[in-house]
Amino acid sequence: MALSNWFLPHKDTYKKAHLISWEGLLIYALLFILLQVSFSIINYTKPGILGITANIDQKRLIELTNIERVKIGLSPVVENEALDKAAKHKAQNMFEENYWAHFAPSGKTPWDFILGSGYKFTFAGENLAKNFYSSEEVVAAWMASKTHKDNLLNSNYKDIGISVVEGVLNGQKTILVVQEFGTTEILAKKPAVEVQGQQIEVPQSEFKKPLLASAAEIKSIKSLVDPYQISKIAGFSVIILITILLTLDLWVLKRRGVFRISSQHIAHMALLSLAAGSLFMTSPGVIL
Amino acid sequence: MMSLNILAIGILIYLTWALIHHKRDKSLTLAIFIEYLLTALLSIILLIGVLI
Repeated sequence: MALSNWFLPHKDTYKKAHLISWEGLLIYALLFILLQVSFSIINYTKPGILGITANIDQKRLIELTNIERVKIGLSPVVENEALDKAAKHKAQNMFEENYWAHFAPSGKTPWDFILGSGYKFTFAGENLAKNFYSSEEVVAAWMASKTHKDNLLNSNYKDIGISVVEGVLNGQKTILVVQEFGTTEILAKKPAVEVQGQQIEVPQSEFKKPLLASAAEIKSIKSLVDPYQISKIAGFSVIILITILLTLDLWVLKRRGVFRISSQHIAHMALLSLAAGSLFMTSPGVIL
Repeated sequence: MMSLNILAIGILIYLTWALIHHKRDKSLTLAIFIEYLLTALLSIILLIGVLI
C-alpha cells in the first residue's frame, strides 16, 4: 500500500485518501473515545493524577462580585469571617462525601454550614463553581446564568464568604469555589436560603444546632496531566489534519481534471470549523 | 453547554442539507451518508470529551 494513498487520492481510482475515508473517520472517533475511557480508568486507579491547575484568588472573586453589584447600583458586600468558614466547611464536605451539589448525600444542607459557622442569617444564598482556570471565568459564568446572577446581585445581602479549595473529586483533582452570601438584618419574611433560584425557608429549630468544629486543612495536590487540555489539543489536531487532507483532495482532483461522485468537502469543512469554534469556546468549568 | 447546543444545531442543518443535496443530485449512497454521519459523530465526540 503506497504511503501517498494515506494522504492523497489514489492516482488511478481517484479514491479518497485513507485518512479521510469513512474508515479513517471511524478510527478517529474510536481513538478519541479510547482517550476518554483511559482518563476514567486513571481517575479510578490513580486518583489525583488528572486535573486542572488554576489561578483562582478568593480576594479577587470578592472584588469581581462587588464590581458587578456596584455596576447596577447595589451596595458592595463585605467579607465575613464566619461565611468564609462556612464556605470552607462546605467545600471540604464535598470532597469528603465526594459529591457536587448544594445538598450533601448525608443530608447536610447549605444552612448547616452557614449556621454551623456561627452566622445567624435572616437571608442567605449559595453559589458553587468547579474546574475554572481563573477568578474572572468563575464570576463570568455566574453572571451568564440567570439564577446565579440573581443570587449574586440580590440587594438583601450585606456579607460574603468565599473559599477556593483543591481536592480530589471523583478521582480527579478539582478546584471548588463556594460562595456564601448573607445578611443578619431583620427582614419582613422568615429566614430563608436562596439556592439555584429557589428560596427555601429555614425552620427555627435549625438555628439551635451546635457550631461546627474547625475545618481541617486539605493538602494542595499537584496534578500531572490536564485531561481537558489534552482532549482539546487532540480535538484540534484531528480537525486540522482532516481539513488539510480535504483541501489537498480538492486541489489534486481539480489539477487532474477528475470528477468524482463524493460527499461535499466544503460541507465537511464547514462543520469541522464549527466544531473547532465550539471546542475553542468550551471550558471545563461548571457552576451550580 | 451553549457551544454543544450550537454544534447540535449545526449538525442538524448539515445532515438535512446532505440528504436534500445528494437526493436532488441523485448521488445519495449509503457510503456517502455514512461519511456525513461519521463527520457529525466525530465533531460531537470531540466536544463532549472536553465538556464531561
